[in-house]
Amino acid sequence: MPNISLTNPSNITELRFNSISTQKLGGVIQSLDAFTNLEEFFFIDHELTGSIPDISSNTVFRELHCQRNQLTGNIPDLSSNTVLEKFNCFTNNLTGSIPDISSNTVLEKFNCYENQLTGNIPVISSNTDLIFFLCYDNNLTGSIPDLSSNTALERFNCSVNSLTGNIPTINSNTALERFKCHDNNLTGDIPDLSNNTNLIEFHCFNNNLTGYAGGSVSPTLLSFLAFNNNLSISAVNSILAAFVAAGASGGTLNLGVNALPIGQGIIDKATLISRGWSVTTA
Amino acid sequence: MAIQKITDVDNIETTQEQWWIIYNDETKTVLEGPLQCSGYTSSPHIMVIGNTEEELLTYIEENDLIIPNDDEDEL
Repeated sequence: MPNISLTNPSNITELRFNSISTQKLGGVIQSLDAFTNLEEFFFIDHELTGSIPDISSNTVFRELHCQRNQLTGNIPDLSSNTVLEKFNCFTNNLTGSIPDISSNTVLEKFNCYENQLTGNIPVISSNTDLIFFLCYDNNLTGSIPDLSSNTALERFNCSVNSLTGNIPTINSNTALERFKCHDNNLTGDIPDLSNNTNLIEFHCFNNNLTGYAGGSVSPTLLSFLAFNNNLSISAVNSILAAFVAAGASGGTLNLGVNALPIGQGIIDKATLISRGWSVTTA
Repeated sequence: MAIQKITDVDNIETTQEQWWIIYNDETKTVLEGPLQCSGYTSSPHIMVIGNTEEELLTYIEENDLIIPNDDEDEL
């Protein structure tokens, strides 16, 4: 494989290496230091190895897309990349922790799912433009951070990690469409979802959740999977009642391997089934 | 045990050892699973129960079913 070098790299604002199934590029990205005006870098679905290069001198960098390669090592320091909008490095072999992204105040997408990242999810309260935060299928620990400032957030997925603690309040996240935190070690209550009027999916199965904070659910919420927790009778009954009150048809609600619904809960389950819902309870 | 395909999903009991899916036969979309979860399920859709996740993944492939993943972002 020949080395790729470019003359006048400082004039280049965008680098795209398109992937063709039979012609994937391999090797290591040596350095992007000379590309001082580089704004966008696309190297998707190749066979890159080595680590993501240092991009601290690329201060006008807006988008990095290196998904589906074989990258290893840590995510570099991003504190100089203050205009960074999209950071996509999913489906690689990255290790180490997620760096501090508090300087990346215009960040819209941070997608590093399907890696081997460890450590805590960083504080994201200054990332108020964040729309997607997808870090599922890693080895992350600690708790889910405060999301109350992330009012633009549409998708949050930190499932299949080793997270502990409570699911934070998501009352402020009114743009939220999909929230997934399944397959962790989370405890406490399923939060109040009454303000999440755009929510479509809420998946919190395979945790140790015990309660439901109550409140209504949006009729847009058509996939609610909370099986394999320790939800109480009261929580199970309240969830069934909330979905009946929402009045939607044709959704999927799984509350299996929790307490059995009783009384009105059994009636509510039957009501949902009559509205075309798929319902599982213990 | 072979795969069980159930078209009248009315209070079907599953054990913690079994794997299952629910799919919409019109859209060929998997709505739930493959998952392991004991309980009683009712649904207007089709339920398929097997012993292993692999059995169900094979069923999904052979029947051209789609497992949607809305959290696969691209750009």
